[in-house]
Order: sequence, then structure tokens, then C-alpha cells
Amino acid sequence: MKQSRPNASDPVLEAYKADLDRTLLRQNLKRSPEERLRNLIALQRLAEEARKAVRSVNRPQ
Amino acid sequence: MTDFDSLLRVLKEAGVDFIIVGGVAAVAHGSARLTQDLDVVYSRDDVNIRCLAEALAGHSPYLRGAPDGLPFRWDTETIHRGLNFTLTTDLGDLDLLGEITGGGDYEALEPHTVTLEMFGMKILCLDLEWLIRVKRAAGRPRDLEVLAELEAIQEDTSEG
Repeated sequence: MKQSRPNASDPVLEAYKADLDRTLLRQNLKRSPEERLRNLIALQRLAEEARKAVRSVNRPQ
Repeated sequence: MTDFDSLLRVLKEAGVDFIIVGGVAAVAHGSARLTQDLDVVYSRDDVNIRCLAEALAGHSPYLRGAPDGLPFRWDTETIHRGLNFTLTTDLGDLDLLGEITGGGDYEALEPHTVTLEMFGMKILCLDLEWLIRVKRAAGRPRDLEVLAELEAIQEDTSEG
């Protein structure tokens, strides 16, 4: 038995796993680690832009 | 927003020995989750502490969440006195960890790393098995989703 997975059948984790988008994960696994991080950076920039846009819409005129 | 590549470059170019752990390590291994900060375990040896102090000195390090105006100085003495630092810098949020639950310090973790070639640099990252191990050991409810993802990735890659 692998020491790193002492609770491999943990029902809570298994419940979380059931809802995972495995297609997305498999798509990620086809990328290199650098591509995955570049994707994270791009997502972060997108999220920041979205936050700024929401703030500007909500700003009192 | 954290400028991950610039933060990594600042640490590497200053000669800091560190290992990426946490959310960025999870992303490097294939997690699809968004993370906001860079978590690294750094070596506590004297030379490395000096490199770390110099690396961030020009990037306005300050204790994240602390009130403005505290007499916080980023130098070797402060690093020697502390262990884990959650910082803001002008490049974004950086967690510098002297040790982590379930994994220990830099020397204990180093055998359980993979070398990633990213942004033109070679960077140590905790391997998937140990990332899962330390996330489990931390036992934080907020880690459950990423832990499920990491285990699914481990299942997929061991099947492949």
C-alpha cells in the first residue's frame, strides 16, 4: 500500500472527485508545466480585468 | 494580482534555494484551479537567508493583512527570527515557508521534488505524490477540492 494515500477511499474525497471535470484535467495534462502556469497567469489577468470592469459599472455616477 | 514569473525570476536570479508548493505546484501538475499567491519552501541555511533577504529587498515586502505602518524590516535578522512569512510584495503575494505540515523543511522535501523548466529557468517543484501527502496532512477543508483533483490526476497519470 502506498503511504501517500492512506485514505484512498475517503468518502468525502470520493464525493469531490465525482464532480470533477476530468476532461478539463486531461486537457491540462497534455500541456507542459510552463503552459499550465501561463494559462494560470492569463486566467488571473482575465479575472483582474473582470473585477475592474465590475467596479467601474458599480461606481456611483 | 501576482506576477508569478517575475517573482520566480527574482528568487532564482538572487540564488535562493526554494521549492514551489501549494496552489502553483498543483497547477504545474495539472490542476485547473485558480490560485492567487506563490507558496515556496526555502532553505534556512545562512547563505540562503542572506540571498532571500537581498532578493526581495527592492520589492517592498510587507506582512500581508497587517496594518500599515508597522516597523517591519525585511532583513536576515527578521528571517532568522521567524519561520513562515506571508508577504505582499510589489510583484504580488508570496508565502515563504521554512517548513510545512506533513513535509518538513527544505532539506526534507528536496528529495521529493521534480525539476521543472519554466520561463527559461530550472525550478524545483514538490512532486505530485508529496503534494498530495502534505495537502492531506494540512487537513484544511478548503484543500479538499484541489486534493480530489490531484488524486484524479495521479490516477490518470498512473493509468497512462
